[in-house]
Amino acid sequence: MPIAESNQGADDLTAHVAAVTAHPPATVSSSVSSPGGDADTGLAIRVRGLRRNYGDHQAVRRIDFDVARGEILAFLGPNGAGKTTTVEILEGFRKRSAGEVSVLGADPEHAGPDWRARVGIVLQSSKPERLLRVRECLELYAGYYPAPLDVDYALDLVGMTDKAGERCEKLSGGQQRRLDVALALVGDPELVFLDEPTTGFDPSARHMAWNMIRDLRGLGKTIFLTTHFMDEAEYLADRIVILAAGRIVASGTSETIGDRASAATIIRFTLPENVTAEGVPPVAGTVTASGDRRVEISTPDPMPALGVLSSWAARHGYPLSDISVDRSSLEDIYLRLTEDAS
Amino acid sequence: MTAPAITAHQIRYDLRVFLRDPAARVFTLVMPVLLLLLYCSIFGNSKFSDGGQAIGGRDYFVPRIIAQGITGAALTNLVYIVVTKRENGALKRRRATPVRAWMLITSEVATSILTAVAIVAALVLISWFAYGVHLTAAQTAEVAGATLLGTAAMCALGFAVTTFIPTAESAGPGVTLVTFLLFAISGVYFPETLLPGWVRDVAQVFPVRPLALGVQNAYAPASGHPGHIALQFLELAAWGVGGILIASRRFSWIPGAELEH
Repeated sequence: MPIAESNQGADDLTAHVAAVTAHPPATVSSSVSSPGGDADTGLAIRVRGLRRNYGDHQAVRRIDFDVARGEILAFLGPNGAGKTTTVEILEGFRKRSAGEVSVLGADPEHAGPDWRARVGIVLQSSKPERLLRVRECLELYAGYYPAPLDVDYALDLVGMTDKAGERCEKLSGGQQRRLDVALALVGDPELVFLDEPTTGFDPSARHMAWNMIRDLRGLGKTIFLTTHFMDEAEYLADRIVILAAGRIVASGTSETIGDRASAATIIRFTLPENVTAEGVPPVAGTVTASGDRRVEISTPDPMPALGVLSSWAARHGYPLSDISVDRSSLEDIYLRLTEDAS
Repeated sequence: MTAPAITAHQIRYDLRVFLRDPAARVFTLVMPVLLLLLYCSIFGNSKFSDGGQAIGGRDYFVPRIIAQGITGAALTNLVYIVVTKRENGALKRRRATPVRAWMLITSEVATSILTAVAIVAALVLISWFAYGVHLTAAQTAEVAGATLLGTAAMCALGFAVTTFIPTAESAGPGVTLVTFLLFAISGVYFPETLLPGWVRDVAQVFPVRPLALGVQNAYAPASGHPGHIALQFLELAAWGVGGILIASRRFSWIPGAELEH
């Protein structure tokens, strides 16, 4: 276990919060330089001081993060934030300008076929394999690996058993994406990169995909998920890293990221016809009222405020039937963090 | 699986994809056979002059169409297949697995060689049995040698050409157009004696005419340009080496749109 984790007192990998930017790289690397490399540390991915320049443009500016074995990490960020560059460096498809990168204990830039056999990659924009049937496609890819999954089992994992004989080009977008996932899994990898796996899915296909990804974690795979969908990250990820303008602007669980746990709660309701905003009892926080009698209370301490409001409403017999209590959504946090950065 | 077993596995699937592709079948396998039937029927064996020597129409056209068949299988088809796979991400996806680059390249080349050998064998057999164009054992060996050298050179050139073609859409029409022009100036579609000398000189710079003359030398050693035959093979080999040099510097497994800027 690296120091980054022991500070959190978390021995549960799924609760692993790597506030690694707070730790000098030297401290961290001294704790993981044991014989056997990262394999002994519980880390699937370790990134320190990663930079990538394209000419004068700095796409990735010194980022640090870890991914623990067995966890699902969601990597978020707007277009142009450096996400694809980072992922492709981790996948061994791109070179870095500076920094240390270790993926399953090896530097992806120089890793060979043995390393490739342990990593599954679902590319962002892959089209069907031309003129092959689904089963043939899986058989082709299974043949590349030393210890592949049974093709029938891989088909079953992604729910494509009944499509085994179909030509790949005939599949719907969602089915094609599931085949992509099956192709990435057929080598039985330890680590799976999923780049926007549900883009273009309808809601039911998306939920099927989510269940499948959770099943993968159940099989002990580490999953590095890139996505644009906050609900996807919230539903699936053990931990979230948000990248903006080439820097990590926040990392944590979906509950705590960007101080979400301590962020203000918003209470909203509509006043009865004969009541003005002045009639609302004082509560901690800021009260704003609009012309159509909508009241919005932003409070750091929701329970006392709700107590005051409910006894006030009960005393006067106000129904306040449209009252809602919301935490700031992950999307709010994401938008605030990424706008601040750019 | 061992490395040769994985390569053989890849060749099986590459061949299967080729055989399922109607456009590839028509352009690579059907077209040369149709051309052969057409030209051997039209020209019979009437003699015409080539390089100051008299040559029979069949002795002239069979080798030219063999050269066209080899170019179609090893250059046009390879470029089309490799660019399509590159642009739809199939090459990148393969490179994300443990399969090695040389296995994939070997498989593409082997598929082209098998295809080229099949089309040359079909052309030789059809012209033999339907039109009485016979070969001695030594001549057959020469045709086989020219076929292998020509296929290897065209494959190498094919990998180089893919690096100049940005999209899958342009791969088919673009290469077909360029090779059509090369075939025309290299005397595949009509006797090259009808062409001005300078056009023949231009054609001689490109690899199709040297390959055609190499095969023609096997079919009609007395007719053509026997003194130059070594030069023809040397030029083909030079094109092959040039192709390897360009491809090894420029070849990409990644779709053009994703290349680093």
